[in-house]
Amino acid sequence: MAAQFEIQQEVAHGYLGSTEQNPLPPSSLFHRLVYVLRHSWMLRITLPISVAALFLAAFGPTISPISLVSATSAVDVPPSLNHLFGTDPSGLDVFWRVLAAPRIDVTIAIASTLLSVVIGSMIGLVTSFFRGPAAEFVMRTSDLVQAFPLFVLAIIFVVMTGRSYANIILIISLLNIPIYLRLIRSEVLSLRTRTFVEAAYANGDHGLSIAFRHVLPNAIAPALAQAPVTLGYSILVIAGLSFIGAGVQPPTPEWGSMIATGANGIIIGQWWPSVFPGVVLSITVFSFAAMGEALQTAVFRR
Amino acid sequence: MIPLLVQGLSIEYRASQTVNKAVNAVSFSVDSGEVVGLVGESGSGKSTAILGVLGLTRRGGYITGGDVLIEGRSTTHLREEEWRQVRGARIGLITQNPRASLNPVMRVGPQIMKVYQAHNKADNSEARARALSLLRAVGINDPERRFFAFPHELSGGMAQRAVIAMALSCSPRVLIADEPTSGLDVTIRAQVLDDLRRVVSSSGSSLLLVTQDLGIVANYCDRVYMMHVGEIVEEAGVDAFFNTPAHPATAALMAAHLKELRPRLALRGFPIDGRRLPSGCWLHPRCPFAEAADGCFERHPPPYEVEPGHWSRCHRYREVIAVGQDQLQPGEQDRGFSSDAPDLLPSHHVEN
Amino acid sequence: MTGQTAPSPNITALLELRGLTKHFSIGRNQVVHACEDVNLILHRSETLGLIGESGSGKTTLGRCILRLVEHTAGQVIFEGVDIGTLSKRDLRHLRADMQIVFQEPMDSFDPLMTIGRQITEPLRIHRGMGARERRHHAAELLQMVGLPAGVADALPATLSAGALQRSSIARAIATRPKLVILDEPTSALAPEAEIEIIALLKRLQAELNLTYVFISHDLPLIGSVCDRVAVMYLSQIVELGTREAIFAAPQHPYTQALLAASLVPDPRQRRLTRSAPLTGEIPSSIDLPTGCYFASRCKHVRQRCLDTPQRLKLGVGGDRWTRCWRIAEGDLRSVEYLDS
Repeated sequence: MAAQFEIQQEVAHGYLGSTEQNPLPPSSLFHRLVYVLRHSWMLRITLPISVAALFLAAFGPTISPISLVSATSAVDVPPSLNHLFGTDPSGLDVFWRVLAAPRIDVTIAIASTLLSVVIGSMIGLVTSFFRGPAAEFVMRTSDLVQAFPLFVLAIIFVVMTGRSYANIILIISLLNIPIYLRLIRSEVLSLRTRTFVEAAYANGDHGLSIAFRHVLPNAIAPALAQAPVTLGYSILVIAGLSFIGAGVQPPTPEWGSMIATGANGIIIGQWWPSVFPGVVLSITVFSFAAMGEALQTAVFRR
Repeated sequence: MIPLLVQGLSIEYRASQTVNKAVNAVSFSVDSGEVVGLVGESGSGKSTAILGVLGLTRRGGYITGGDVLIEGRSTTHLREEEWRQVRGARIGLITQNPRASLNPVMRVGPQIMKVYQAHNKADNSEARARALSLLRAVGINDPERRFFAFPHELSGGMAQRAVIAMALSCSPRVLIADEPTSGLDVTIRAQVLDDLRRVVSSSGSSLLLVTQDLGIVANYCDRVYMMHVGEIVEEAGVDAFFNTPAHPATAALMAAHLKELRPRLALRGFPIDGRRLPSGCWLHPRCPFAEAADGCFERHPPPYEVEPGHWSRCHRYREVIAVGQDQLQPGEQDRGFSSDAPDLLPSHHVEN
Repeated sequence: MTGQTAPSPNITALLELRGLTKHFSIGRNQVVHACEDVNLILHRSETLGLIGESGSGKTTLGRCILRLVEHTAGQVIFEGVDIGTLSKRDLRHLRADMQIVFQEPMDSFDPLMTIGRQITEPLRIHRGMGARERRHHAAELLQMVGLPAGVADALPATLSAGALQRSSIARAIATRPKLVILDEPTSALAPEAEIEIIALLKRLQAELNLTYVFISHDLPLIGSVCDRVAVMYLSQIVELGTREAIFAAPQHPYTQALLAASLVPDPRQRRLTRSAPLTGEIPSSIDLPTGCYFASRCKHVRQRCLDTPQRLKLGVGGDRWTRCWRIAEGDLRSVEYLDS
């Protein structure tokens, strides 16, 4: 067919898209995040707290002016100007130890959350994109893991394999993988039938490349929104393990073990070694969880 | 008494900071036994105007002026309960997507019965008989079986026919069909429209057909209104509409249907935003005919009479007609099929 | 056409389909017949129209040609090579020569990647092009399809449907393919955008010597674009011929019904387009009848239509094929339609 006319550049007009009923451009994830930030008072409270926790995880122990682990003679001092949160039965200042604990709690939680997200996403991506008997096997295994109470399994595992940081990180991440597997899977299952995936095949791309280049970035958002919640929960698990003595040992500053150390003293009126770590722990865990909630509303407003 | 008379209807959408004039002083009418087409690109306000006629607006929409007279009675001050007696009974609506109009968990027959019984005191057996006769009338063969079907069990064409039956159940004088066949297959579309037209003409009611498809307009409408950015810019009988289009928006739409570029008629840029209307004629930023000398940039065009029964809201309508005559002849490749071919199809099926 | 055994190398033929069949199994021993015994030759530089309604199999046929979907039986021969026998890797290399433009421009693109990167993806895959070269090529491709260079950095969500479809075309021609399947490329566009895309496609075909398979349900559109037309009904080709022949004198009853139902925007042609409406619904593609698939809706049905499967036969007048024994044997001539 011979061309009979030119296309003038002017005719190729209007590439700024808009639909007739709603002439605003569709909101990107970034816009939605900003919107949520502006309108959610919950987020405005919990975000600084979360950031503070992360800061303390990095710098907590270093900003402490006094020793965190050498016992002193100032035993069981109530909260005062010298010791804002008082001292515990070993004479250790509670305030600075509370601030130093994130170095353990939060760091371990970050490590295990990271591991869960990465491994869970990878497995979820590959098994959901490439279907097949292997995928079924993985899903059933994941169901099995999820069926067990996380905390009980964690205790058993740590007791069996030893109380090292690596083991703790490992078991917590392992037990959280099914969540991310599922999150990624539900996104990938709907993404793999989209036209742009077919277009990638038509371009000559091969499966694995398509999965990581096109599908994963579009599937990861819900998982990323869930991560802070997992973070909060992991902190709780670590504290719990340490509380019963299956995790971090004293005198390393750690909220769970601090609560345990001070537990005996509550009856006789020495509430401060347990309560302060407990309260700060609760606030931190809640902040991370709430942040995750807010992120999820931003992500799921499709 | 004209079954449907709309005078100066205006509808606005108010958002937090903007006002979108979706419909601007729109006036049209549909007479008994007439099929009238309401044409316009998407975004021109056709669907909003239709909803406005029924007293419905989407969230944030307000009717800011004008009157709608259904069978001679004004509807501006109707309360919601009174509207409910009008909708369905005096004026029926057929929407674009039949699956959206039908309750998916209820069988089709009872749905029609429900509508009928809402407006007429009738017992179940009477309503059932009415529903069956309606299904037969809209061209569903084997209506006894289809009566008990769920909407998802029906094909697209069948479902749309069921919706038509529902709209007709109370014998309204006015029917409004908003793109009733978009999404249907080509052969089904022709059948549904034929059935719709047949039913309308046999009952003497009026039909307002909202569409973007000029093929439908050419084959089923008696009169046509052209809408652009919420106002009616041209009105004509169907023959005049196609032979001498007198508005640039009309000419552009006709050119688009030729499947070939006609740069002299094409509109530039992208659709005009109802929240930021330009001065003068609202089409001028896009119009290939716009000239300052004729006031296109300053004066909003009043309706100019081209011929009795044909008017256009364009200062330069004469030029538009002239260029249209020249440019809108189908080219060599444009013929749907050769009109010189022998009549291949049984002549006794030709309807008039 | 059917029943030939020796594969004769046809120099002008770019693509040949022999007995192409595609079944989708949907459990409980039920099978959807998407394509049934399709035989077709596509010549270089031509535009072949594939027209049909829902269930006709035209979309599946397009996918089978590219082997994006594995066919159940038959052969797809591209430039003399049976692509069904190629390894996955060789098939991927072949994709540089055969491309596709999809119906939905909005969904054709990854929402998180810029247009520039996406339209040059084929270049990365087939020529190992690096980022800088790709930026250069992106600008060139955009210019060829009439888009401003700034589009390269835009995300798909900010573009209109027409612009996205142009980008889709840009991506399809990036590797200068020989064959482009156009799967209803304008169905999702407004009429103004449609004619621009058609004009663009025609211009590119001339410039790059492309061969098109144009899939559509819009008969007037096919008539303005294609050289030859294949009409499909329920998984089979029921009529095949040049555009002039099909539109001037359609033979198969389904083609006639399709033409009659295509509403021409011209009131003067009213009478012709409203004659002989088709009755009945389109049957399901799961339980197909023994004889002619169109028999349930045809006005000219005879007993033989119901009993024997219909083959695509050389119809009246040279390069015309019709799946109707009555036409092929002259039992039903055009004139006869007047009396039915």
